[in-house]
Amino acid sequence: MTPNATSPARPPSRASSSGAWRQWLLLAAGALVLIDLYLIFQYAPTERVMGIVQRLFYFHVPVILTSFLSFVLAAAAGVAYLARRSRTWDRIAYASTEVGVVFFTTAILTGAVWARPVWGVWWVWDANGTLTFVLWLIFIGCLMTRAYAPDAERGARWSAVVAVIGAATVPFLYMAADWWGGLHPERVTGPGAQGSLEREMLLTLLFSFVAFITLFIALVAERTALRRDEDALEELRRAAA
Amino acid sequence: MPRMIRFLSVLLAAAALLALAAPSAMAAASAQTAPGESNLGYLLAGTLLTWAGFFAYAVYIGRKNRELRREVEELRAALAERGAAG
Repeated sequence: MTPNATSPARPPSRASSSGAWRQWLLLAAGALVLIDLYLIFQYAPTERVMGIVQRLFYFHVPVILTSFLSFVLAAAAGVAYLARRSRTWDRIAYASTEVGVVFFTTAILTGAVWARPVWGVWWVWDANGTLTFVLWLIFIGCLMTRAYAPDAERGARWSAVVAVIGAATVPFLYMAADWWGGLHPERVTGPGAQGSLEREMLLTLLFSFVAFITLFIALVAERTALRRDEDALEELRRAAA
Repeated sequence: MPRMIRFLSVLLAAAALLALAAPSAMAAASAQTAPGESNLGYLLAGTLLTWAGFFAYAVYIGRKNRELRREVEELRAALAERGAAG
């Protein structure tokens, strides 16, 4: 890894990786998550048809939309890296991809657990399910491209291209149920949504968005800082060799 | 910062426990069984999977952070030793 002049990797030290704002962000994320759990299990009413299992909605929807956001961020940071060759952008792209894969995998698992009692199946290979799997593979591929590239510079460039392809898939997945049908229900909130929600449900959903996006930002910030320290360690290793 | 990661891990674990306890308590408190109420196991599984995923990732970051710091200290000591010898 060769840090350029615009964003030199600092040697890891307690001062460099103890950003107070990151600590506050982590605390805020933790507090929001606890409040969110109260809203999900105590405040939101039980849905009439699906019953108690519908509460997975407040995990599944915000987590999957946050993972979409992470993939778009990874692509944007990748493009910024390609344009400016700044290691900072590459670190953000890497962190966003990695955290995004965690969010997306979690969303897929909650979706499957929700689908089983409601539809009677764990997974359906309709447009939504297939595109979900494709997008998951693209972002796993994004991490693998970086890991198996002959050097860090090429890994960063190649993974940026893969991230752009992945981000281009996101709108198709978002609209898949509307455009091609299938078992996946229509969207109840967001641009172009067909359905509607009760006020308490909508408030809980919006709060869940805030909680999971804060958690996402906190994890990306932490992973970006860790990545910076990894780069600095690499320099130190070279100096020691 | 590793301390904060540990704190977040504990917080996420507490969140998972709370999330697991809440629906059980809610179901026990409920006198009537609503349609789909028997799907409590799926709700528990989904909730557990969500928080287990984030908890595992927080632990992974924390462990990576600790390993990195240990290696930095070793390298610094090696460089200082070399500087003193040279």
